[in-house]
Amino acid sequence: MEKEDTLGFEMMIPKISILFDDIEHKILSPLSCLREFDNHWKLEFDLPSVNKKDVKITFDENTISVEAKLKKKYSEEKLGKITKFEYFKKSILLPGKIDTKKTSAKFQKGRVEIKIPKKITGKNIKIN
Amino acid sequence: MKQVGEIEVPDMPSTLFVEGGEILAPIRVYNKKNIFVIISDVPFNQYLAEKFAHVVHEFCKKNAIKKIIIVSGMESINQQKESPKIYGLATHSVLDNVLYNNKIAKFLDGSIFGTDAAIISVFRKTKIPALVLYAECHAFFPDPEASIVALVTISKILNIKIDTSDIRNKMDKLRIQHRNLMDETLRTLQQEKQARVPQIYR
Repeated sequence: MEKEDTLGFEMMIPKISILFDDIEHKILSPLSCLREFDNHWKLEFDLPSVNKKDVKITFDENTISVEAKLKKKYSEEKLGKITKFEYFKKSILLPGKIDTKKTSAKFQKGRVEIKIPKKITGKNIKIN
Repeated sequence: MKQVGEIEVPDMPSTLFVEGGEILAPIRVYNKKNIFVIISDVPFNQYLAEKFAHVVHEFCKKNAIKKIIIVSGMESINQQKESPKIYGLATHSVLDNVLYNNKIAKFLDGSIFGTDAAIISVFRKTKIPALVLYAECHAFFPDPEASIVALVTISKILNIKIDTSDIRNKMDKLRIQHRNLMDETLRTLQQEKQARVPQIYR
């Protein structure tokens, strides 16, 4: 079982980013959570009503973005106006550099789980 | 069930909901026959949770309630399982039989922090026994599947019928709809970070 990098309760709550839906472009902001482990981060996105084939994950040096098309439009009344959302979209800035070659993702029960190994850089310090 | 009252928690910021033109309090009491259900549409931090538990205890005393069932969630370690499991924790040994008779695994080892700990701490000191049901769930996303497991367990314990088909049919919609409530709940939990819970040596 993987060991989470926790220091009592304070570290148990993951980094949560604020939800901003884009009404103009019919984009919902999915819930996400980022948790830090000894040698990797685990980033999850909640993508209900989405098929695996319609999920697109992209990343650069320290940002991961997820886009997904909903199986059917989701209607919600906002500010007295009914909006029909068609997509999920969100980008998450990671606190460190990503080892892009070893990053992997899986999709299950409408959730994307991305395992991101930390890029280990640095030099040994010689003990005299 | 019919709404029969509201619960007011001291020091809780004033909050009201409007649904179809009707003003609703955030914590409401429903009743049918000899069962009362208390529903809160707002998340609590642990300090408000303790006050909430005291108010609920007073309500239970007034209404001669014999046992309390609290539904909560426990992070699922293996989320690939077909169906979430449920665990039970009784504040008084008199409710251990309920676990045994309904084949509910007993919550044997672990730590409970924050809101749940505050509520359980209040009830374990009272004469009214409480049973906390921990359904395995995703810790940070809405999980209607876990809610269904909890409801099915409650229906077995109380020997009543609870129709879960509506939740089953709307699982994806509920997950999207409840993003903001989940977001608020997580922010409330983040505020509790400042609670300075001691390190645990186990």
